[in-house]
Amino acid sequence: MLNNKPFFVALGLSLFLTALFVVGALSKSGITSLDLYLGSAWVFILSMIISLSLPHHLAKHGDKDRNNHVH
Amino acid sequence: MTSRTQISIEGMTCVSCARNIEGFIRTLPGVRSVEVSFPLEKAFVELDGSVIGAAEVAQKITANLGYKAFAESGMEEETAGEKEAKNHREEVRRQRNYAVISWLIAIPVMLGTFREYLGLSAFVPGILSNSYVLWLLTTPLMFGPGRQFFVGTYRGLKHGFTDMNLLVATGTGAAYILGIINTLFPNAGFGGPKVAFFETAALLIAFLVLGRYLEALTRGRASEAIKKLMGLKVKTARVVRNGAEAVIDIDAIVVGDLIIVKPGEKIPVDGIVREGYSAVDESMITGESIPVEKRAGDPVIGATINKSGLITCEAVKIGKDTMLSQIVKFIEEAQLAKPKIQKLADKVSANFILIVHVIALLVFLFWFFAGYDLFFAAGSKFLLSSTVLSSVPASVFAVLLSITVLIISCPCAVGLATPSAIMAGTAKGAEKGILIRGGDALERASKIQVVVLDKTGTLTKGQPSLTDLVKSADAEETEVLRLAASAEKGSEHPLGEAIVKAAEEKGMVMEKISDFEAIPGHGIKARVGGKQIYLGNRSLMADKNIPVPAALAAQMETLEGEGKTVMILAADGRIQGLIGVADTLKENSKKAVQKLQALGMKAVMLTGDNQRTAKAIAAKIGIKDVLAEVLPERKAEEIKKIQKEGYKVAMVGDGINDAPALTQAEVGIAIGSGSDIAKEAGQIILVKDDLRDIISAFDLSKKTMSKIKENLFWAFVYNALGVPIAAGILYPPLRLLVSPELAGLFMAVSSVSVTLNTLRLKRYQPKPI
Repeated sequence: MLNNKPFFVALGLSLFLTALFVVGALSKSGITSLDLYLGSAWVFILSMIISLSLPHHLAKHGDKDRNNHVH
Repeated sequence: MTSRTQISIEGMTCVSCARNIEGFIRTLPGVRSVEVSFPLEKAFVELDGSVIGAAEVAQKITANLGYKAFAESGMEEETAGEKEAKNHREEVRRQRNYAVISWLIAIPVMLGTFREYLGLSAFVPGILSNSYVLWLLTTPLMFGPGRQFFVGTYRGLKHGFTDMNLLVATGTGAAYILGIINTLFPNAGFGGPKVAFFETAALLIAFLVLGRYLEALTRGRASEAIKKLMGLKVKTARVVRNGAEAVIDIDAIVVGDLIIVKPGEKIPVDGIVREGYSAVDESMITGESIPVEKRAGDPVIGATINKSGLITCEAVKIGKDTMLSQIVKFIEEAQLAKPKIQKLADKVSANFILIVHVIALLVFLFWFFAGYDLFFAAGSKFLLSSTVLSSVPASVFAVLLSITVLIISCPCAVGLATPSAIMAGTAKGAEKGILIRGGDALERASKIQVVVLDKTGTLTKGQPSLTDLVKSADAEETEVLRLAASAEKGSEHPLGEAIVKAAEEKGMVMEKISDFEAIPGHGIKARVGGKQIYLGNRSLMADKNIPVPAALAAQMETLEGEGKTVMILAADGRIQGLIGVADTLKENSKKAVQKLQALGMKAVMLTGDNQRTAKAIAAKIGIKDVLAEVLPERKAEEIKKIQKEGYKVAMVGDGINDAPALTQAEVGIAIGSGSDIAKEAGQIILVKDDLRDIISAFDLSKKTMSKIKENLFWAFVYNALGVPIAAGILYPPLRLLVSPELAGLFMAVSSVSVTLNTLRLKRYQPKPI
């Protein structure tokens, strides 16, 4: 999985969302650097999970349709 | 070549795993269809044997997904069952040990963390409060009992699957890492060593492992009925080989073997009594509590107990063909037929993990960017806890709430709600001799308004006997019977058999016949001793333009008014006489019909008999609605007509002969089917020939459906309430939070409570009628 297209798409998307978070966080007052690290890490992890499971989730529906079609 | 096979799968932790495995198997070439049952821990796969084998599918599951899988097709049924039981016992033991270890560690971690808050300084050594000690204690918990969640997550993510392991792993992992940061860098800004987070990780693991242990325990109980049935199987049998008795392994029995069964012993396989007389306890298969008398020629069912006399039986069905094996297979497959109500639950839980992570992300972003500044105040309390949250930065506060959302949202309760109830309901039915073909049948049976009962063989015993013989003016009584019996000799119709039996009892010699033809719904024609014979009803005579004398017609009406079936005999175009035959009602027909009506259902009798006879029989039972003179092929049409009126119809009849009508009805109920369960068309099969079981079947269906609804209601309510509370909805007005460990407890409780609620079905007993 680690070398296929969905992984890199998910990675790209997660990095993009994390970057958005960093930009948003930097414009907020009273933010410590650790807030930034922890927040970025958390956003990245959740985004990665979401974007990784999304294509599989969509593919699963595709399989179901294919299966229904066969029968 | 398409074949259906079963694959046992170990290591599934929730319905998401089952769904993921299902998705994986579906992608394999040669797989036509697949259903994975989480409660049964099995995959039922229909595959093209020329492309892929069951063992190969199992091997691919193990290699690619990491679950231990083995194909059952190559194994003896008993060995597979034993292996399953052994695996289940091991799983329960493993989770129990994990739970004990987890709590032995989690309690000191909790005491050490809250030593000062709970005023436990006098009892709890100060060293336990040291965050390095807490780290040291929590680490084996994370990598011991908690390892399963991380392994499961890795296994899933490797293939793009997400399941509840991921929710737990992200929650506990984040808490553990926060604990380490706080320990190593107390001034990092995450609240310092006093906000340890180790207790969150430790208690979370402890609650979740406890939940897994309880779930494994209760899941085993839910499938106990199937295991109990499988446990009925006999291991050895005493057979006659080469004229001598020999005790052999059950698998060595071949069809045709003569088996000796002593009193108190189990009958090893399905067979026919060849010698001896005994009473046999069939309660374990049919639910019939009174032992059934068996004599030469009577069928016996494998696994039933010979109570009194010594009998010798001939083996008729062995191995997977026995009734017991078929029942087990039926129930297992039944649990895969999903009711409509589950579609909603499936849709929700299929998207759940994804949705929960999206919610967790949104919750984090909200509290980080807005909520914290607007509402946060140091000294906030956790729900049901005396713990106070000290001053923590926005990121920690937002991550904490985000973790809680992940933990509280496990869809396991939603996923378990329906299959566990179907499993319990179908297993309970099987215990009582009522085989229900899955959730779909259960759901439909619970909504039935009209019950159509076939007359012959369903309401009546289906073994009519000759009651009246009326001759015409120019015929002899004996001649009428002789001609009719000779003509019917070639027929297999029960009415014909009654006439032949009566003639044989009188010692009559039947004549040879030729040109025999059965005219369905009308009668028969045959040539007997050179005479053209027609034997049948009025319409047959009308078709052949044979007039019925007025006196005979009047007598015919009288006999029909008494509920008898009257056949007219004509020879060479002249009426010879009438033959009256009556079927006797089954003992419980009247009681069952009365009870159906008392429950608000409309009972309708369906028969090929004429109106008069049909009405007379219906009146005896108490049925007002009669569909008479219905030809066999028109039965399904009649059902369709009732359905068009907007009623939900159940048809009760013979599983094989009434197949089209049983299929047309919302629920087809095949009664007293003998041992050919696999051939039955009905969605519900009553093993015992007792109409009262229909009531029990409807009652059990309603009970199971209400159990499913209760389970789904509570599971959804739990999530609908749990997620907003975990997301911090109570925080702005009350300054109250849910701690991740409390969320873990809620999650475990929801799954266990659904399973326990289902297990109440085990106490179900049909009401006496």
